[in-house]
Amino acid sequence: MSKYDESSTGSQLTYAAGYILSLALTITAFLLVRKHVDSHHLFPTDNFMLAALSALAIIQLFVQLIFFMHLDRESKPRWNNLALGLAAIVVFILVGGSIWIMSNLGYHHSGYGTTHDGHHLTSPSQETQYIIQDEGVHQ
Amino acid sequence: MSTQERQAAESKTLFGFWVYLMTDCVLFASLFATFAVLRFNTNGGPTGEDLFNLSFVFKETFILLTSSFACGLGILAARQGNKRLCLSMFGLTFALGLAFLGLELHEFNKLYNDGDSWRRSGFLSAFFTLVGTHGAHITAGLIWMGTMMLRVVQQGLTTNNIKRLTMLSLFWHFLDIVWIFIFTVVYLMGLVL
Repeated sequence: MSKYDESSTGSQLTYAAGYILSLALTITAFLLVRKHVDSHHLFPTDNFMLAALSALAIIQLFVQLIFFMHLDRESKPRWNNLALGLAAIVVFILVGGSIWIMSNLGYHHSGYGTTHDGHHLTSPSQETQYIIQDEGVHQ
Repeated sequence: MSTQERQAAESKTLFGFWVYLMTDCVLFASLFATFAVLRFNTNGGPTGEDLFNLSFVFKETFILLTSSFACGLGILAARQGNKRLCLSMFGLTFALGLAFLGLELHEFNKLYNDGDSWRRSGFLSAFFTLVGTHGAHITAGLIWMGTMMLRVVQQGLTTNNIKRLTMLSLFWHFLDIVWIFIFTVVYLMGLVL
């Protein structure tokens, strides 16, 4: 009776599967953080947590794109997927680039900053000198 | 218009809406980038670890995820022509969305009253901007959803209404995906580092 193509919307089953998978991924992330906080940041380690949380979020992104938004069922030509791919590239450059550049400029922060080998700089002129050397700027 | 022409026009509308969602995605990306850059700039104020409560965030996440699921069942019912089920599912989605917004405003209010407003530090400015923009989207979605439910009650599940409900459900799923990244990057990673 439906005027719409069933194949592009999925069924109760796909939505339920997406819901349960998302819930499982969310609960895993929360349990990991709870364990991490309870162990006073010792186990699992900080780096492991960052990697695991990022991975869980990205898996959940795909779960929801496929089970809730049915991106895998788009018929050709796949314009929606193309737009999504383009957005993903922009997001990657925007977020990745910002973090990269700003952490590279990290020695501007906290007082007059620190050198790569951990010496604290004590004056603005010292800092300027260090940055000129470090960045290879010629005056 | 023939059925084929109507379907072609409809898929164009949906594609246009999808492109809007992608630009919204870029908006959120710039706010995420800002947050990532400013998150350690607490200016002697509280850090994420001092402010965030794991079970509170889990509650918010669970509510929003469930509302996304209910929204999916709602659009499915709409396409099967089941008006009552469609309205009750979107009603559930609306109620859960409202509950989510209530929790978020409660958190904002508490932070503000404790002196931890957006003026306190770069970290908090970025936090309020990112999470607040998501909250503003949720508010807009709720207004849209209320309007659509009214239209469905009055006009029934017409082709036009189903098309609009489809866009609304895409919008709502999109907001759920943005929230996945907010709870991961802002709250969970805020408690880790």
